[in-house]
Amino acid sequence: MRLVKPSYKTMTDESLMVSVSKGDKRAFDEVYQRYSGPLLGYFMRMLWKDREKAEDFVHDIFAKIVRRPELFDPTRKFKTWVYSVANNMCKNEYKKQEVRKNTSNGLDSSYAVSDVNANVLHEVHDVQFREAFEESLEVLDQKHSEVFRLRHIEGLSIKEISEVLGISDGTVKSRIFYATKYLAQSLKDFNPVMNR
Amino acid sequence: MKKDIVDIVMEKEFIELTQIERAELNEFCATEEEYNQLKSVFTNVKGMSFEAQKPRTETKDRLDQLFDDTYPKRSPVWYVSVLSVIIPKDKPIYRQPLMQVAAVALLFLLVVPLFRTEMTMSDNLIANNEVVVTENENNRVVEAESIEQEVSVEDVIQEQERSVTAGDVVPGGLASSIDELEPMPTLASGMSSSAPMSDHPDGVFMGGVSEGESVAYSQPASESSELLDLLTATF
Repeated sequence: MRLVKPSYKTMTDESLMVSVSKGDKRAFDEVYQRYSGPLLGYFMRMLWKDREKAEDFVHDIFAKIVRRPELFDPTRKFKTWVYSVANNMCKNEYKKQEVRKNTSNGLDSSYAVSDVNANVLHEVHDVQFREAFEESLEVLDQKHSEVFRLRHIEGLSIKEISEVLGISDGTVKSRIFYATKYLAQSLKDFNPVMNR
Repeated sequence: MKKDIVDIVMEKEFIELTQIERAELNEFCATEEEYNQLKSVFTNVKGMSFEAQKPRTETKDRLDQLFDDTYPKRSPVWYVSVLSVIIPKDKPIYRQPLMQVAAVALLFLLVVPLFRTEMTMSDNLIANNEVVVTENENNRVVEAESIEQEVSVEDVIQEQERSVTAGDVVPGGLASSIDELEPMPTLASGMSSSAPMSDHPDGVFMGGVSEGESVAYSQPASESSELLDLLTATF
């Protein structure tokens, strides 16, 4: 018996996965706590903001972790592994659907502009920029948008993205800058905001 | 974490780039204007808040059920529930109730002897007081003994006094002569003015009250003129 029990909060993802493979429920809870939210957001962004589908995908990816934890190689980083699995799930879904779901355009109708809010102009610009940004990402081809999402939204490094997608670092950089140039061009109307 | 090219673009101005960085970026943005465009997109996207949504609790419940099915728990034993309470696995050893109780018990066992030592010390103090008392008692005993000794001495003296006989005081020759004297006859019976004159130099007469008994008595000097003259003669 160990003198001091390990704190699951401070354990690495890889160590937690080793514990999960031994049936440690609390280790699984910690992994779920760390990655369920980001993965839900990732699936939401990748699957046309379909919440139900994203929830199902979150369930499916964690079900894989429960049923077959041996699929994870502890020598690899769990983060890149789980995102690569998530990315492959999305690709499979794209193949199934073949048609991507369009997102709503323009401002949210429920957004109330308050005169008393001094930052209302900036907020409107931010919301508009956000909507335009997401719309542009949707229009962008999938291989470029996924790299951009993984880098700027999910917070993966170029090296990690290359591991997730199984491509070289140079390809990742090239796709990122291509996507960035495309976004800069499509969002040039938001220069006042972008130049803040 | 090592900074990649995107981090460099977000952090540095175009004029701050090194030759190596410019060479790496030259493939994607050749001019400063292009560089600033990329920088704007990066910084604005970074400033966007992507609220972290949480999956529904139903999703977690389904996964918990799946986990329990995949890793079935061992058959419950009566003491497992007790052990789970006193030795919870999820807590470090110093936070487990059993260990806490053991620590308190150990602390108690370590502290109690200290109290006992203090009690012993106070007992010693009491013992010292008792010593004083004992000394007093000893004194009393000594006094009592001395009193007893005095009493015994007095008894001895009394006994000695009682046991003093004429033989003890009077020299042996005289004692024997005294013993040989006949008892002086009682005044009531034989004492009279016409009592016979004693041959004894001290005027002691031996007379019998009854037959077989003798009493020694002395004749008053007043009744003997010679003796009186002798006694009253002035020198």
